[in-house]
Amino acid sequence: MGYAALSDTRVVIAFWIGAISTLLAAICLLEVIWMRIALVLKERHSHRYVNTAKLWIIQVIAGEAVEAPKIAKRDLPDFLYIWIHYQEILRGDSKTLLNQAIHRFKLEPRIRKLLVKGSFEEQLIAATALGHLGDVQSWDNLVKLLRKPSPLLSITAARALVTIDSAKACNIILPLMIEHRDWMPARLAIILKQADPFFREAFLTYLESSAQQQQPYLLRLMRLLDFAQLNQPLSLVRHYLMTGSDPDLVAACLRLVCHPSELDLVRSRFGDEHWSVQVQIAGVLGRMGTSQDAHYLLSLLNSRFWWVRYRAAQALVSMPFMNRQAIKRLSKSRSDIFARDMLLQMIAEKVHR
Amino acid sequence: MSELSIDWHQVVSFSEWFYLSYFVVISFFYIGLNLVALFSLKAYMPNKVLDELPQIYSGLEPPISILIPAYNEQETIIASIQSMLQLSYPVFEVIIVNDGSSDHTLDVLRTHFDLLPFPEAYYERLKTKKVLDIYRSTTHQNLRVIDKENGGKGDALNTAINASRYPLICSVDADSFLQRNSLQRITYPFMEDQRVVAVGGTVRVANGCTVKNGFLAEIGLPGNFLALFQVIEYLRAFLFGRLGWSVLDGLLVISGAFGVFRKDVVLDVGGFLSDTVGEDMELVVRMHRLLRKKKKKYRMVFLADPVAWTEVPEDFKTLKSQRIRWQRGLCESLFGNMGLMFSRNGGVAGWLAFPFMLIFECLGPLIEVSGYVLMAIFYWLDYISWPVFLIFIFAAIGIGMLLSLSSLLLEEISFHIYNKPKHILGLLFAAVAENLGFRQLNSIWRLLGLFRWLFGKKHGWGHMKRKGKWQKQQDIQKG
Repeated sequence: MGYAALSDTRVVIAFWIGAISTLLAAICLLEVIWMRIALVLKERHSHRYVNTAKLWIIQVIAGEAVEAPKIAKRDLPDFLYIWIHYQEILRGDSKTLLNQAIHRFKLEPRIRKLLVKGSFEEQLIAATALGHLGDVQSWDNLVKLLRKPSPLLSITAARALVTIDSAKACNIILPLMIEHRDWMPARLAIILKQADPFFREAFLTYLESSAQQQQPYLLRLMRLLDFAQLNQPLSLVRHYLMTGSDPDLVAACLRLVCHPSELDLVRSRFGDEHWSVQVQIAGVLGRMGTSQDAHYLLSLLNSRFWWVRYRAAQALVSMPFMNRQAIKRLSKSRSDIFARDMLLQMIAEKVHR
Repeated sequence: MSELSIDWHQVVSFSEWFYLSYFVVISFFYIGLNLVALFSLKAYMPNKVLDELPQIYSGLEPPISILIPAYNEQETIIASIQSMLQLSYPVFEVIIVNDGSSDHTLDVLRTHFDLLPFPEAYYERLKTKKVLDIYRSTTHQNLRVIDKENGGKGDALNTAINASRYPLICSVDADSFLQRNSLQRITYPFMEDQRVVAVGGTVRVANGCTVKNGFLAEIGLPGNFLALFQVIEYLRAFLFGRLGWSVLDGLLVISGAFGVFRKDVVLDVGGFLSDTVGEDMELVVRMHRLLRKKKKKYRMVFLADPVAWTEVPEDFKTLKSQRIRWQRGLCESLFGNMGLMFSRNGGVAGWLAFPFMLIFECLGPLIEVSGYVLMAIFYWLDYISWPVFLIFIFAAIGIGMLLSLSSLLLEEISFHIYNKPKHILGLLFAAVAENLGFRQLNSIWRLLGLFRWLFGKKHGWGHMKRKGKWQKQQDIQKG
């Protein structure tokens, strides 16, 4: 038979597939080499620079007299990165010394410029740095960043604003904390953790006042209340413990119970059969329950949910009248094998601790 | 005679068109995935700029149970567990399941971590083989070891799920170790989006690396060619394969070597299957099928930066066995969940990812190997000329090189973990050289896996011959 000619369509297509993919592969190869050369050169420079900058910062922290740092335009983000690194790990006077050094050598204008005109990464670094510096002059530009589509950039700006002036930030940030559902709760929690008590109080008040309107999103926000360091009962918690029907919401409220005056409300949920509610009730009783709650906890030991049995056993064991002998007696008296096993585990855990 | 030659001509012509079309379509898909991954990485990388700063725990990080099934892992298990215990994460526990090992796995664990039997209230939510004993470490409060009868990896994982206490479960292979911050990174999607039910991390090759005190001290490339080629393979599989599908919402594979799942969802779908060799993929495909059937809103995500390092085979025999097992697992996962394909609510997973996996990954080796064989036969029978034969081989190898080099480019754009110039030269060499024999050999092994699945030959734990070099290096450093 005759061969397929080199000019046959399929052969031509195969040839061009091979040729184009080989060409593209060669381009990838050259690109990788070129990128690597650029990276090596950049890292070499950066490594040298970072070492110098670190030394300078350490001298500043040690309170030594230092000269103005030489920071080329391209080195500013690297310098700030190290500076932020130390800001995040240090406390007290060292932080103040770091801020004073930036102020003394008039670096703020350059950082402000980076915030406005820098790339995305540079804006993140600049916003974080200006927050640490408490730079009031950057307020408006940071507020502008709150409207950026990137949730990371907007929440970084929010954190900076709260650090600069938490009282002034309340009006702007609190509504956004509720509106911005793309702000990661973990980052919000960090803002609350680091904010001064005034901001946390304001958050609580705001949440209580807007709870009805925000009900679909309330659960997400209630997790943040863990960081508000509650020591007073919340009307919000009281309200949902009395009327709430969503087990997740009720469970979240139970997590926030912090005062013995709320115990009766907790007891009013004893009839709730949802496991997540029962786990939280056991948790509350473990913290502040009395001997009258033991009967309920004993009934939870027969639950088919491991976590309910575990928390109930933990709560029972933590009650003041429960010593090792009492738990052993209790364990022997249980007819349910799972309840017995759980109590035995609790005894072993006590010994292990 | 002339009629016969006309028939052969048509056969040759049809074959050439068929294989050519196959290559065009598969290349189109792969290049598409590559571009999706490229754009996704480009958008993702700037967000990482603050990640290297000291991290503050928010307190909202969900606690995790790390599940480690172990079968004859005495060589590497201590180093793996040590690395797990030093992970930087607020609340986690480590549960090792000794699945009836015939070596000294349990003894080394017992000695090294001071294990004592513990009266645990074990609750068998998922049916498993008999649990013989539960131990707790007296030196590490968050470490437990379960000794059970041999039942396979899926069964061991189910046992660990039964014993686990936390809402997220993370399966990690006993020969792997995690990067210190990997748990923190892999839980982000769970905190950001309530719909996330599973997140997969990247697995990289540990051969050639140095481990110190349970952590990666120095990244290196393996000296062994087989392992070196697998570095490229892993880059290709994770950096553009899984990342691309994840962006398209069609992720069907989360590696058992490093994946995090929501425990309630895993329990709802019945846990891992114990009679499959690809329990990780099977679970993910089944989760897709059942969650879609129930019309639940969910997401499965792949992240490129949480990394687990694993030892890969360095000899042909072990590699062959591994690839056969993987292919069997793939077939079992797909054919056991055919209900997902083109289902009413199938979405990208059912309408695009599943058919793709079935045609190109499951049946692909059959087409690829038959293509090479047929072309060689046609050439031998003088039905195609030498230049035409070469052109077809040229196209196949060209596409292979493009895919390997583009995955290397993705790595260079994003993480550039292999930081020495000699590494990059080694990887460039491997990206080209693996197309000249290794890939074809791999396709043959996968074809064998397909046949073994078809003819029902069972495959066990598929144990790998461990060199445990990185652990030995660690011991040397300790000594």
